[in-house]
Amino acid sequence: MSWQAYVDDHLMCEIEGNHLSAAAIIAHDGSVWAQSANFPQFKPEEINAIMNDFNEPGTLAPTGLHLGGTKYMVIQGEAGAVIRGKKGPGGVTVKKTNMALIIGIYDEPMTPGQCNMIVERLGDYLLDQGY
Amino acid sequence: MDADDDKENNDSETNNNNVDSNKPKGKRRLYVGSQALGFRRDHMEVVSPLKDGVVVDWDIVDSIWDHALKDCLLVDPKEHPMLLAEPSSNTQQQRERTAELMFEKYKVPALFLAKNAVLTSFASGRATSVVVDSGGGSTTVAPVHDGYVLQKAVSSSPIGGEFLTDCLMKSLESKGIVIKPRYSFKRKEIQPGVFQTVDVDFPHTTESYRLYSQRVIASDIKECVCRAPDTPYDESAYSNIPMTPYELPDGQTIEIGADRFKIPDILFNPPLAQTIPGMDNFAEISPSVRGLPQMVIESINRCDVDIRKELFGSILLAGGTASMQQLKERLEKDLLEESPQAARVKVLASGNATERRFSVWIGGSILASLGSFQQMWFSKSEYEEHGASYIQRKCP
Repeated sequence: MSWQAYVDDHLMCEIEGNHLSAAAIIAHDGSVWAQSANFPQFKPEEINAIMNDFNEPGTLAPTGLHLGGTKYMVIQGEAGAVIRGKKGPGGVTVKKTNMALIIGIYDEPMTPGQCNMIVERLGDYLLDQGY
Repeated sequence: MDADDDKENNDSETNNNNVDSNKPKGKRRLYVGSQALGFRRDHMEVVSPLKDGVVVDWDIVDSIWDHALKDCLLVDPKEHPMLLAEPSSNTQQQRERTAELMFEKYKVPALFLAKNAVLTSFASGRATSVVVDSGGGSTTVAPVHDGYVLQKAVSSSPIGGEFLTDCLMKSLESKGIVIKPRYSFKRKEIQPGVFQTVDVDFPHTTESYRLYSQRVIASDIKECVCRAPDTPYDESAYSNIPMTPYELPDGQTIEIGADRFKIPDILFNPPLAQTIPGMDNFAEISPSVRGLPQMVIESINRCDVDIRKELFGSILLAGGTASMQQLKERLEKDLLEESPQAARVKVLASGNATERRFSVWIGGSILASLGSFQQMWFSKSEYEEHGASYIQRKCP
């Protein structure tokens, strides 16, 4: 199964009538494995900052999580595994696997809980597969 | 039709939820609730399920919920989705345990865990604010942005209402005033209007119950008489102020002078507690406890630069201890001195003391009745499919 299929079928899928606005699977070094059509252009520094926060939780909180120029407020995640950010009614969830980062961006009417479910479910599956 | 039921998990804030246990033959019998606490029984200990804000005894929590739902509210939990308020810095393990208990024992159809700070913020109609929750067991400062707690900026201190009550008790004891627990005496009317106090002895009363009864009286003294001083407390400045009389339940009248202002100032200046004889062990317990204004500033500084201005402009006071007179004015004054120049500092508190104490519950009832909230419940079927650990994802 190609990575693009993972993004199209498993991340951009419908859940309770809503779907993510953008999603991507990115390697730890910032190279893109697959992304949805409207995923924002991001910078390598942003990915580095995310990786730093996974290694040392708490570094992103004062400055905020930046992705593609958009700033998200860091709310409660899971240390070393999940970073959750909020921007108004929408936000982002980033799940770390052994080799990749799964990123899901959502907007209203989708709830943070739904975005978490989609992103983290795929993350758990990839972790099982060794990725 | 959903009749949403909101349950307040405020064990650390009111003594009413403490549980008494009778220990005959090694098996523990639990009495729950304020009515049970008011009645003195032989060998009855007063126990609390929380230690440092973390639940250590789940049996007690179970019995408290049982008592609240079955005896007080008279509802069947199977029919009502449950919205639980949890501390702003609750651990993963505690949340999973709570979810397990709720779904397995009470078989609720749906559950949601909301943070105390978020609910208080909603109760005042704001989505972004800094919530200063000063309850019985501890004081927590948590910034909320757009309805979500900024986890890394939450700070908490062990100084709460109970600590202040203890300080007051020790201070009165050092002055030779003995607070007699309510059960230890009887008042007889020997002539109209003239009462005589007779001591009654109950040798099997436990130490914890005696201490609890004394704390109830000291707590009442604190609520009636104490006021937050306008300026930091200074021994010499307050040595000559007029004393306020207070009549104890046994008829004795005591005079309280400088303590009226000294005790509340401990919130702002924790090292002051060490000057009270009997409280010198405080230094070993928490060397790095900061005062309230410092905690607020520190918390805001750990937040994103862009929202700091907004946070300074909406600081909410909640909790029983926050109902202390003049606390709001003193906090505002202290913050104005220490905050950056451009910031406009505003401390808000609802006028009604009951509203301040139960602002978390009020916020919970507002949240549960919103149409847009109904899709966020963690349902029983999701619990059965994915397990308790899913609570982390569903209730961020």
